Amino acid sequence: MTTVNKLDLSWLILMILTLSGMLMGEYAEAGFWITVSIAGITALKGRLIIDQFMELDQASPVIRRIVRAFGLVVPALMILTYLLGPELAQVTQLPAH
Amino acid sequence: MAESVRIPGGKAIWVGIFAELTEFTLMFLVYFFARINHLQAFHEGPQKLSLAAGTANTVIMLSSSYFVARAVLAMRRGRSDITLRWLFAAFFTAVGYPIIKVLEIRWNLDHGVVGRGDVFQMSYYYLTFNHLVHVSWGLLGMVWIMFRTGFGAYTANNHSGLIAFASYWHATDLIWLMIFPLFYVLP
Repeated sequence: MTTVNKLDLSWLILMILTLSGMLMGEYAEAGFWITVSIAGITALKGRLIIDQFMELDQASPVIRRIVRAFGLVVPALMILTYLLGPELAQVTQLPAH
Repeated sequence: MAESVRIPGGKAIWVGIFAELTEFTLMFLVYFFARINHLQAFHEGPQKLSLAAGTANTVIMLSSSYFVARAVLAMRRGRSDITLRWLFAAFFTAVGYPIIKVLEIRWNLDHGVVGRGDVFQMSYYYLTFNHLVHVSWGLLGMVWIMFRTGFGAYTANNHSGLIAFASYWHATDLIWLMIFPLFYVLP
């Protein structure tokens, strides 16, 4: 596949994923699998930008790893706070007097 | 095979990009801290915002980013005239972002979504205004890059300035891709 085709395809996938996100925002109710789906879509969109638009798959591994890690922070926290929200809230609050 | 040590656009722009990513990572941590402590406000929050405005700005950021990627590709092939056309497309698409933001804020105010509202609304304004500032810098940078391209400053073998700008613009797009689900989608 040529670089042009890769960019075109990436843009198309990003548009489809954005539309999917919009439909979830319109109709989805809170739940584990919805959270996982939104996190997955967010991670996938991030990875497409990082690898295809920024071309970091061919760049310095230090830069590539840091930016890829950034792209996973929000999706990971979406799932983590869904599963352990109350527990995390408890350990991040100051004790009441 | 040895791993690539290519730094797209040079080291200087990556100092700026890493500062930008660090800043937003801290703000995302604050968002999640607020979220776990105010679940109800964050559960109801997205319903109070304009999903159409958030989606429109996502399409704008992604498309503008795509046009910039095509501009870099054209320059790599030595076609600075085509590069300039892609940059014009990127710029006029991206200008839609602040326009949509203004319309969105007016819509928000009409619907009671204000900066002194609940914790969700405060987080939303703080993060999205901050992102708007980064987009505004990017738009100024894009004008500069268009001038440089128009005056023949870049060649197929030497266009690191263009790549530096492209890297910043894609990073700003990447950040918006994280903001969009947090405020407009995640129930």
